[in-house]
Amino acid sequence: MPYFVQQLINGVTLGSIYGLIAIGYTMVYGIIGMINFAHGDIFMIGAFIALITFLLLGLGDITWLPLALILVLLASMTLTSVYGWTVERLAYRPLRGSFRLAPLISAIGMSIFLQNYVQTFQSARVRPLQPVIQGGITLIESETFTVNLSYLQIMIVVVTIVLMGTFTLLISRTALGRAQRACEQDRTMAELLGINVDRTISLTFVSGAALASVAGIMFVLYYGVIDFYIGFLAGIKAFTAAVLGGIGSLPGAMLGGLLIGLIETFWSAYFTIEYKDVAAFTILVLVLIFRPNGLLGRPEIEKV
Amino acid sequence: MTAEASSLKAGPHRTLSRDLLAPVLKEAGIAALVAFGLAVFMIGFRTVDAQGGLQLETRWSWVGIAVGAVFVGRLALALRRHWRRADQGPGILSALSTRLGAG
Repeated sequence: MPYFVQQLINGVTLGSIYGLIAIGYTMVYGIIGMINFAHGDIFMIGAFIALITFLLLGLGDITWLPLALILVLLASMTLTSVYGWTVERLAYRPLRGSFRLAPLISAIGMSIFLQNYVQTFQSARVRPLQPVIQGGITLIESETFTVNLSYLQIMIVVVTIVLMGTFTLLISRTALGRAQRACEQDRTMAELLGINVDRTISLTFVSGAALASVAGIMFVLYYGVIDFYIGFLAGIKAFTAAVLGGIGSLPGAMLGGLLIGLIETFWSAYFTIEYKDVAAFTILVLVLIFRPNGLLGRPEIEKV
Repeated sequence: MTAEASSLKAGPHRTLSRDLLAPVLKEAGIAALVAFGLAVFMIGFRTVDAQGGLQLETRWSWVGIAVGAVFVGRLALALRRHWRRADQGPGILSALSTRLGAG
């Protein structure tokens, strides 16, 4: 039982990171109906910016942890958002109105470009970060196993819940959220009603990138190592999470992220760690075959 | 006679008035600012292995080159767009309305 509880904690933590990335996929899909395959790489860039900011703060002798975390969060969210905006502006906006596959191919190209960009300018080697948040609480102590809940795990889950709440409010209560929902339903009609569709789409990419950067910070803090390739696998898993939850649904993305995190962690704990990715992607195949709309997704109705 | 009408009579020229230069420079400036945001951390700093962890190397000249290249590139694009418009001249309706207004 203690072992199970420990895996549950680990799974929820990992699932929170996947969930934050999955929200970016689901928002972009919801508004322009395309899968932004470069989103995983935006997450990777967020992690790199966080790593560089931590090193800069270390050089500047800023050691008070809450201040350091806020500064890292601000730097990473701001600069990663610039990447999100630029990717949309350069790779997707010129292709709006083109054939359906064009932005998808552009997204794959942009993903490869971003990987190579980071590989060139930050080296292909794994970049380590010394543990920043240490310590935790011992929940269960038995003769055979001790269940620990680290402060970092608490922080990851709390930050995810706060961001989810903030985003739900943003979508449901603000003018931007209304514009996003209008664009999601009928982009042409939204434009006719005076909504600046280009601006709304840009802001969707910016907010998705900001969330991905938070996930990147959590990732670098939790695992302590990053490289230029982390975005690919994490991105594909987050995409799986978005599909599992029902692509286009915000709570679905979070639920899907949690489920993928739990499945991956339990598989690694009880079966074999080598095949944890197989387990996650098997879920993607099964969902696409048996429940293509996901757990919380609605079927797309096409008027003829 | 308005400035627009006089420019019509003079025909399309590859000149750039101060009124047109300002938005072109602004556009190039904004692009350079975005390029700076993109480059300042990912190009400006390089993480290198060192004893006891990572160290940062700075490459500000690379950032300068990237920002400068974007500024020049965007400026060239904006100028090309402006000159193309000038070469094409105004549409029939807009030319007619300008002439009628001027007359």
